[in-house]
Amino acid sequence: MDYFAGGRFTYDWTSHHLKLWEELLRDKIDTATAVLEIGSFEGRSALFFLQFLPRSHITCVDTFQGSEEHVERGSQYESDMAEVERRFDQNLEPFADRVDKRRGDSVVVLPRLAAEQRLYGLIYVDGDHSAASTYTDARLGWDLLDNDGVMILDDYRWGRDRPAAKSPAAGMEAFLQQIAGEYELLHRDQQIVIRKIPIGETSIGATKSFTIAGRDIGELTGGALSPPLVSFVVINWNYGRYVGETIDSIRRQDYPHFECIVINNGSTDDSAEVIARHVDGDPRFRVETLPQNHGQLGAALWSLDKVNGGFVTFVDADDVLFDNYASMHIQVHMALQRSVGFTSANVAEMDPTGKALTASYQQLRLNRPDAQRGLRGEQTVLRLPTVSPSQYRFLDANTATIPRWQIGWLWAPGSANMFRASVLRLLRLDDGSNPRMTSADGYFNTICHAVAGSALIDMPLSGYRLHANNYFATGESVEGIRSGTRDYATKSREFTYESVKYLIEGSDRFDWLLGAEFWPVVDRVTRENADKLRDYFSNENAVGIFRRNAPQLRSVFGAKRFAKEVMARFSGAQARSILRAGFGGQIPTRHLYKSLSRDFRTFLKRKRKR
Amino acid sequence: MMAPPKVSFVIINYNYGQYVAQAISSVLSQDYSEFECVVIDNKSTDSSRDVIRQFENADDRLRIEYLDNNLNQMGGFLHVIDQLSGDVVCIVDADDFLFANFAAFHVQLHLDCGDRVAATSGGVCEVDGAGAMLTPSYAFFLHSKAGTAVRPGNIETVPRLLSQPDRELLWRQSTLIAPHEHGWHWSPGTANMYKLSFLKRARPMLNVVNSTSTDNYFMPFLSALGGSACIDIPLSAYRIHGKNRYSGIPASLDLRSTSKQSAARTAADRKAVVRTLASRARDFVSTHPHTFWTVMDATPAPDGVSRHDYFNDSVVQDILVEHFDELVAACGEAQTNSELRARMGPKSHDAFMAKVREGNARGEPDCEIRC
Repeated sequence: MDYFAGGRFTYDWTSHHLKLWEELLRDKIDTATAVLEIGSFEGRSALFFLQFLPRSHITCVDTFQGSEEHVERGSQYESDMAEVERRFDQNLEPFADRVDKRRGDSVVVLPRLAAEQRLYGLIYVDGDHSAASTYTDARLGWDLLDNDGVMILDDYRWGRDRPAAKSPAAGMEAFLQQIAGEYELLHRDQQIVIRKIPIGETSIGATKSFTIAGRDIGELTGGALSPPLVSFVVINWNYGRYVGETIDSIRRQDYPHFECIVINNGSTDDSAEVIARHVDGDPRFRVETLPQNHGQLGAALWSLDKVNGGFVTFVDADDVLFDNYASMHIQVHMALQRSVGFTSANVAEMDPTGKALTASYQQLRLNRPDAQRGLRGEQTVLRLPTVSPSQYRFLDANTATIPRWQIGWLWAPGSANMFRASVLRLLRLDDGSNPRMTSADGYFNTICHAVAGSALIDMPLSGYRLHANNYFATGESVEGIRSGTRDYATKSREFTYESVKYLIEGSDRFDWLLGAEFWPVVDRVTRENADKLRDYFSNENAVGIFRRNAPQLRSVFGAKRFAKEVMARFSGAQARSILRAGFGGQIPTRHLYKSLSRDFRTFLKRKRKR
Repeated sequence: MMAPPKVSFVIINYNYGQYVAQAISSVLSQDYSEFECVVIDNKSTDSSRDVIRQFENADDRLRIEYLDNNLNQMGGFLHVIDQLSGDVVCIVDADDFLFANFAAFHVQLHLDCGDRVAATSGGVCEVDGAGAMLTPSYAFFLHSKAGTAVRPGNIETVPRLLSQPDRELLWRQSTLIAPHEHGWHWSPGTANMYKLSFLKRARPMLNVVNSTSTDNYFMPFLSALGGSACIDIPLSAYRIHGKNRYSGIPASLDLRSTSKQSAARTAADRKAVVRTLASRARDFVSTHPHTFWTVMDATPAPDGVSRHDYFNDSVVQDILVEHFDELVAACGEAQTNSELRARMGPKSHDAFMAKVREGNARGEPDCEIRC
């Protein structure tokens, strides 16, 4: 068959491959294969694919600006690129309804295709010939390739006389090394042809099951050891129009070991019916109904008696989780250099209809002072079958453990966080029997991080829906990340006093648990910088908390330390009222003197400044 | 080539009927078959005995002892130590369980490190009551700065128990802790494998050990005597449940995970090491003539107590007073005094010596009469 009759071409770099291609692609003739071609030039190979695979569609990516060898003066491949593009258009004209031409740089176009959630059954990589471009095209293309899909890498042996960086071979080898275990080699000569092995079938590297040091954990422990149990807690108040999608997204998780509690938090809309329909008798789900709205934090606190998992995610009822949400979070929890209170992943923003607005991935900042990058070696951790070796390497490169002394809002909001249940219980403000009309992340993220640290995963694992009701509907939005209302900011600042109160009231227990960290943790949960702490504590609310608990603080820390810590945070009459309460009415002279002389020095300092 | 070493597993159970079957099964399912297993039931009052009885004829390598009294963990172990025929020993807590590759990795490291280690310690997955994983590994030795990379010795002469990739993984993930590197570098309980000869030398007197747990006593002691090695690969599971863990907090979060009371008890119990060393000073000095006093210093380090405070502790001083004559017999009067003086400070050493003289006076009434 002459695939190229009537076409206009200057070069033929294609025909001698056709025999191989026909052989490799024969089994795809009857299927509606989606083909991606990176580097189309005059459209010769595209014509082959379109005709040999009559039900296929093709996406052609090319800059139509040419590569170095096309625009170099005097190069044997020198071409007029405008003319090349015209010829491409003409040649493919008869198949226009099956061709999606994307003019642009592959590094721009390919991520866009990923954002459109496209998958291809055949990818032909024949773009720019430098090692770096070849690698990038192949790597980005690999994520667009469907399971069992075929990738053809062209010109493996091209440019052998050129420097390694300017020919494709080195890029291809680096790429193949990186996806080791995920592909089957079908052919290697002028072209390399590989097939993508579906996760769960791969033999080398990736495995079908959960493993430690390359051994299946069932076989390693006679079934005694199981992967972590994840508890999702969906908290829904009048999100009947969204909660169904949220539940569906949890049911689709590719991680098998989870339970889900759906709390209908005093809804008055059709939520109950929607929840029942979408849970649809799935035994992993339990539905709990609260007669009145407990607020998100109230419901989260309430749920802690009900969860069985070692890891917990509070899911906002208007968000959706990506299928690999639990897999990625658990893989990170199981592989960090040191364990943390919670992990926080990136979010993709969605419009109200659930369409991803991919341009606005929330950027978590991984480059922070003292952030520890990376994961433990694959062989020394629990490896999940749903996380391929290259995904593990991706996580390794895009995860950072943030030391607990970093303050401020460092995380993605709400559903993006997976906590250790033990840490949540340790910091459980109350049993949730009373409403707390505030966000769960606003309280838990700050205090869990201050006590146990956190890790950031720079990979979007859930979708955050932007709609008019974010704030009003739930009584919570996300401070620091998205522009919440001023009202919200005030409210969330006020709530930090609850954290201070909780720690101070439990000083006996927390002093032991945290050791030398107790007072730094108290300061951290305020979210204030060091120079603002005195202002923060001068609030009557804080004075009251300390005054009421002064006798206990004195007995836990001893008189000297108690007086020192009080004076480090309070001044003047406020400090003395707390000291008086701690010393049973009478401040010992030594401490009284210290307090007064401190005030006097401050007074002098201020005067001098004036 | 030497014969493959034999492992003695000792499973000590008290009222862990819920978990003990998994512990026993995990020993019987080891890849490495050269072992014996002794199960000791410390007069449990729950379903334990019924559970254990089901294993009575399960395996020739298994032996079961039902005790008439609860001797605690250390007591139970000392009860059987002289019957053990292994070269290396692992004391298994009945609520933990081993992975099938546990023995092979530990024994291989003992073989490859030869006489540079008296004990090895492996990584631990913390799990909940149902066996669901909570952490990938126990924290302590991962974060400690101690230790050096393992460089295997002459491995041609030792048996090979692991595949070459596994053996290389083992070397890559292991660190050697030298005897003088004090502190706590190891995983708890079950995760450790000791050389039996060292356990026998270090064994405490049964009447003074009370509730001491075997790892708290043996691990710092054996490492100070003969060095140790840590394997940063999870090889067993450590169960966190209501009875053994304060607040249910995994150990790998850098929070205190034991209660104040139990931490104090652990520190107090470990003073038994000082008693063992002082009461058998001549024996220890014969093998550690230059490092005997350094071994003495190993005990307070895991609890973060300074040498000075430790040797001024009244319980420790009482032990030293009681065995002062043995110390002098081993080290000579001059060295004993200078070593103690360096640790206590001159003033309290003087006070200590007064106590010694007083003790001698009280301890030898016959002399007074004779004189």
